[in-house]
Amino acid sequence: MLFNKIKIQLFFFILLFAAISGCKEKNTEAIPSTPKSETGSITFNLNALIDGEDLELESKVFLNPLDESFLVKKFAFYISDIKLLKDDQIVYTIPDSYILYDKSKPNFNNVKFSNIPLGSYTGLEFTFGIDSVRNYSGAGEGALDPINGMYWTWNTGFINLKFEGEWISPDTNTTFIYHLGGFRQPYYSYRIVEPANNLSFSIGNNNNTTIYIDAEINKFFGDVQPMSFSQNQVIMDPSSLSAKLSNNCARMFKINRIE
Amino acid sequence: MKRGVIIVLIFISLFGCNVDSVIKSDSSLSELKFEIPIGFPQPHYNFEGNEVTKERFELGRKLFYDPILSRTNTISCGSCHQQFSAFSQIDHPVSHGVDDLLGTRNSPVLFNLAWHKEFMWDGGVNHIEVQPFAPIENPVEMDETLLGVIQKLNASNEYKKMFKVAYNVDSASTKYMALAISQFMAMLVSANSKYDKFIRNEETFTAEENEGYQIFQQKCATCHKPPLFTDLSYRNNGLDNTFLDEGRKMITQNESDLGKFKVPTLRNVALSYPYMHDGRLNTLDQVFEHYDSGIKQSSTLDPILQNGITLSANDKAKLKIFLNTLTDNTFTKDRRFSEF
Repeated sequence: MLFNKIKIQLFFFILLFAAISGCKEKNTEAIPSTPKSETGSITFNLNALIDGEDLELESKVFLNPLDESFLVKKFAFYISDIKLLKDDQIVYTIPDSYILYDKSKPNFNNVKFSNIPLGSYTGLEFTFGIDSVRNYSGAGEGALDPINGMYWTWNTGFINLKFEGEWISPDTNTTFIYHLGGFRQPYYSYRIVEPANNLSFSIGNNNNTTIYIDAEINKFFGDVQPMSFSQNQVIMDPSSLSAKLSNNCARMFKINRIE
Repeated sequence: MKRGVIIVLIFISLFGCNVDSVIKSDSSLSELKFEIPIGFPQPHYNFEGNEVTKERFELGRKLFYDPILSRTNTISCGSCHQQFSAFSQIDHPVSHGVDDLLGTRNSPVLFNLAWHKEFMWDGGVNHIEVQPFAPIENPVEMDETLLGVIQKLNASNEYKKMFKVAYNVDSASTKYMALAISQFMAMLVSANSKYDKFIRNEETFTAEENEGYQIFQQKCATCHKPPLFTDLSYRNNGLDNTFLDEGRKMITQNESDLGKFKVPTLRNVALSYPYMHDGRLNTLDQVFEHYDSGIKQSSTLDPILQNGITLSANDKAKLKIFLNTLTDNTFTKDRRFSEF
């Protein structure tokens, strides 16, 4: 009898427990965390320059290598697929490393990645633009959110670089709009940037490392494919010219310093 | 007494967390899942990261029918994609957008999209999840910005709640809007026409339907390949010899794609007039006439159509009878897909 009573009470408690615990939040699965001692973090800080001077939107008139005057209304680009090198070998690829630089949205231009393996590194490699695989992968978010305006919706794909403004000539001002995009052969516009191999930085577990990268806009008119405002003021499709200008853009980048 | 308490507790322990969903449950959606019809290949879209749930489907359906997606709050996806015509728009050669602006292409039917790799007449959109962005931003369709849409959605407590329940996110974003709409679109499956029942040995064809089916297999099925009734390729079917609309070439920049458009499905074709990428042909008879004697030569004309497709009067009559067996009224009347 007594045993039965205990059994009923036990049953009662189990039910009570089930009733309470059953309502706990779902999705409480633990995120596997790498022990702190094995990884650190790295920040990339991007900055756009024109002939070595800081870019200023709307107000300041700049000169390109052909001495054409212009002012900039929009300058934005993607880099992606960041790899850390040691002795010219890729030792770590930062997962989902997509960075949008947009002069008009400063909060995008300083991006921190965690879970970087500790150690010393001697080089850095990344891609100008967004690679083909990501362009076939459906809806993105964060830097890849099409809301950022760096996306063609009618011909799926990221715009790897937007450079817009006014070309100022003695007679008149002419709007220029250069949108470089496309991921299909032969006019794809993403480029692996020549790696910087003479660096020296380390990832420690208590301090963050920041790599400052400059993007020199005047390389757009650069030495691979000469380009001038007089030649063309509007590029909004993947084309032979946009592919050649992407070669120029791959040469924009320079590591300024590492802290 | 004690027994009563125990029963209540049993009830709570079993259903305590689901009271909400039990109350809201819409019986037509309780068994909601994506099923591959008999004889269909594996779909291209597998709902990865967007597993089918009632809440996601309902959110997608609400967005599909909501004119909030357009700048003027007047045009929804459903405006140009109406269920009774298999999600196309009859009598409209090209789409009508905001401020009565006309598009350049005919609204295509929407179903069996999970089997498509690319979308639009020119295949410019390469993933079902990014498809909704195109009409939203098109200046002669919805002409809204993605930012504008997301702001409007987040101004609505109902939408915020639905995004939370469906995707466990605190606010609407382009990604989850796109996932919800694409879930609704990918769930639109049409595979219960008389033809399907014939293939499944559930119904028989009449002698005329059978004759039409034979003609179809001989003369149409290369491009309009069953079970999708399209081979999903891009072809120039001889409508023009100069091309105001460059079609696929606009996407690939490849001269050999000039004037090519995606082969449309023939499922529900009797419901989805007018025909061709610009809706220039109003009737199936005109379409037969085009293939029989209207082919225009050009450098990219499909090799299969160099000499047209000879169709006798009898062929045309029987083909039309067969094409009517591709009408799927189960699909066009499916309450799960309807606006109200």
